[in-house]
Amino acid sequence: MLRDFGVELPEDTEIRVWDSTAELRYLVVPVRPEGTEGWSEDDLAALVTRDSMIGTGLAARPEQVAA
Amino acid sequence: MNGVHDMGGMHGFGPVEPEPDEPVFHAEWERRAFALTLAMGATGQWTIDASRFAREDWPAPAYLSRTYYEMWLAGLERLLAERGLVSGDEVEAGRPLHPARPLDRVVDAPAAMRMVRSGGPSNRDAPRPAAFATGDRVRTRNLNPPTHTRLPRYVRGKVGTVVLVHGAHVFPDVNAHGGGEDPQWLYTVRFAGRDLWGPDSDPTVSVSFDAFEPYLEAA
Repeated sequence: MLRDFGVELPEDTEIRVWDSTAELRYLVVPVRPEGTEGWSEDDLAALVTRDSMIGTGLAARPEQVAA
Repeated sequence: MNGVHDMGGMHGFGPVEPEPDEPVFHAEWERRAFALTLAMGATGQWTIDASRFAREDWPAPAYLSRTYYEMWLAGLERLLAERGLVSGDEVEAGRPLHPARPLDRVVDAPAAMRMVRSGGPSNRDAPRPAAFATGDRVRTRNLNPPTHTRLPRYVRGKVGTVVLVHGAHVFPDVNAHGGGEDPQWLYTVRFAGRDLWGPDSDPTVSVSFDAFEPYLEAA
């Protein structure tokens, strides 16, 4: 199903599915993209997408948001 | 209920088709249907769990042929009709035809904004000690009530591990049907993908869901 969202992961990536069946909601903390060492919190926040917080995508790469 | 809304693990719906720059609402009436549902929920005429049941308790063809917000509107119309707040001829006409029944609580726009921002926490004081602790092996009961439940079909009769204990929360299965909040302990239970989907499942997959204590027994 991740492929439907255009996401390809290495075969050995552990997949943890969370089915939010009660009133509690869960957010994914996206993996920090490579090449963002030393970035400020605001700059990093610009890489965070909705999909990266619900487990259907990765955070944007630096070149995707280059000003 | 074992309704068509409980789709976890089902095949046959085709691929997910993500929409680029998906808007929150696709039409103005959707925004309105959503707001109406929240505003009417705030009147206290029904609970959020009753509201969910009103959206899921439909014949499969009716459920599947509606869009997301068409389903919300259909659920709202049912709740309004069941409680004598709007009659069928008024829904048909799209305007009030009979004197309105007064409500104890009505929200205006600022109150609605406060309500949306504050949310509606479901945690409650625990009525008794928890039966399970983190690390316990538990089996989900094979429950098939015709009424509201948050126990998905794909996870019934399976053995998993308690990974989080969330305290006591309003129990939707009872609260949906006028039985009061009946707070129950709530746990996150984790299952190996292969215990749910069989030997062909991706070996790296685990699935966690939030289980109210009445859904569980010691394994």
